[in-house]
Amino acid sequence: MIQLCNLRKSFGDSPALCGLTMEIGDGELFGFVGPNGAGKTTTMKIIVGLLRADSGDILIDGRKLAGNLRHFKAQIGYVPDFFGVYDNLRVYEYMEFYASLYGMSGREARRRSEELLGMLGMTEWREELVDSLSRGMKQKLCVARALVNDPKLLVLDEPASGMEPKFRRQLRELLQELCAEGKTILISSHNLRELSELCTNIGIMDRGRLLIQGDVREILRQQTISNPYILQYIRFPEAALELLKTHGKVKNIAKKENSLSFPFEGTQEEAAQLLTSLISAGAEIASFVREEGSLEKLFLEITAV
Amino acid sequence: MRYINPVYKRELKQTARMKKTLVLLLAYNFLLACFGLLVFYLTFDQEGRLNSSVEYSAILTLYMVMTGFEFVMVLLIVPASTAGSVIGEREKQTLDILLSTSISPLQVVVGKLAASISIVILLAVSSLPVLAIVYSIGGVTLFDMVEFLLLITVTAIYIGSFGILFSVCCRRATIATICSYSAMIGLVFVLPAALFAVRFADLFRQFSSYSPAAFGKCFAGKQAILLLFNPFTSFVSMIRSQAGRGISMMNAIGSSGDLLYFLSQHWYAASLLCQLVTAAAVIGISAHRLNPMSKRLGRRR
Repeated sequence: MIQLCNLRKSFGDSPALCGLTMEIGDGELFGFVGPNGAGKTTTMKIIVGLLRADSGDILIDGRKLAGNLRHFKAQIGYVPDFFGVYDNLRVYEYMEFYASLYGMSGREARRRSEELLGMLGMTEWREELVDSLSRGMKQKLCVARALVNDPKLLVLDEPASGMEPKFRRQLRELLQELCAEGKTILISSHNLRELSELCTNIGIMDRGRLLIQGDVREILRQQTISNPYILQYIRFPEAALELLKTHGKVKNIAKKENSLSFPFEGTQEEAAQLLTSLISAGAEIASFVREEGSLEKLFLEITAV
Repeated sequence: MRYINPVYKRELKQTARMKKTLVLLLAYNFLLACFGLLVFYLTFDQEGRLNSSVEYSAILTLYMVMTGFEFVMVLLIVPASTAGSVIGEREKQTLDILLSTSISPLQVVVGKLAASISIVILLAVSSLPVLAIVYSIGGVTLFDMVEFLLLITVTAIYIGSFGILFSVCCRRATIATICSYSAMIGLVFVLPAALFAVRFADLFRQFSSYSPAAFGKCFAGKQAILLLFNPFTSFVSMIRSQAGRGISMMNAIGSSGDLLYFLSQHWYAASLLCQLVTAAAVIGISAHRLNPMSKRLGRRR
């Protein structure tokens, strides 16, 4: 369990984090969402020990990060939003180098590197020079590198940006697999659709503050409840329209070609009754559903405040 | 298995694969060999070659010139090779990844410095066959050559530690390189020159005209203890014990009290020790500066 307690960080006069408090449970795949400059990268850097917070604490399994940094670093894997690589190093040497940074001996480092290269389908590239790899391959290598110490917590800052769809899918599957193994994953991305499909929990940040946090499905369900109904029709006579306009729980009907959109404040049973009445009034209806909640819409709504 | 600093190991691997290293090694030894042979030719005149007589003072001059050449080369190479080391990681965007792992900032700094110094030591060792021209004739012992290698190593660590510090503190490689060379020039040339200048004007007035006595006394005085931090004085003290040159300077330092007399008799060891201690302190400061979690004022983003 990671607990961020009232974290504050400023760069000169500009505040990056303004009392950020949040929790990430064990085995969660936590998506970090926010516009540029929201403080996502700063938070991630503080968690991995690359930045010092001005005030506040980070607790991992109840122990303070500050003072136990060396111990925790051995359990954290980090993929930054850029992917620096070394010249004149082969892929397997790059992996073995990072393994040796975690105290692995030659044979152990080699075994772990081969295992990870195999896991990410990079075995055939093992003899290639790292700087000759494509951007996508470098990013994959960066993810493999972050796993070299078999971390309990994986922190990924925009890991899929610039990756081709095949790699993105592979990464998504890998992260889900790692999450199923019990690893805690903290990931930030601008691809909100992907994040909503991938993550178990999300946190939306803006201007150094956490605006919303929770289970992705629950948040989307809550958002769906408040969304308008979309009614698509083949035929919608005047009588049916009149019925809809005079219904006490229907407001602000918007019409678009063969569809109507309107907020409905009633229950599901009341919606079913309305549908039956509309059909009785001669309407031929193709579909009648509430607009689905999306992380993108939620994000835009929240951050526009 | 023996522990080898992973940063050092990786740096060596990368450096060994660079063409630049090969060219540097070849150019350095070629220059040194040409220089050595030229001095060798000029030192042993026609008469010496015909009657087989050997002037040992000439051999010692040859030794002094060649070691001096190597010493200067080290002073020129080390600031450049160390100033870019940490900045290189920052520019390649690998520093954050490195610091997010279990390795400590001190290990990073030591690994970087050791890798830069290794190249210099490799140059010094590879040039031993050229120095052996002198050794084969006589006048210089194996111990002298070991002493010289030790001096080169300590000088490289000492000057290199400042290079690493600037590499950690500066954001641009050019600025770090300028600062490193400035530090080297300050320690090697400006420090003795300043001491010399302060005393020279005073003594010149006393003696009213130039005399060797006035010149020698310019390094006398308590402030001469600062010369322990000057690699050039260490070199002079080594040459004094090995070839009997630079005696007047060391005598002047020794004439400034009991402590300085004692130090002047053990100047080589004392100065190397002082420089190593200073280097250790500078390395410690560099590691502290590199540590993202260390508290300090005025840290930039």
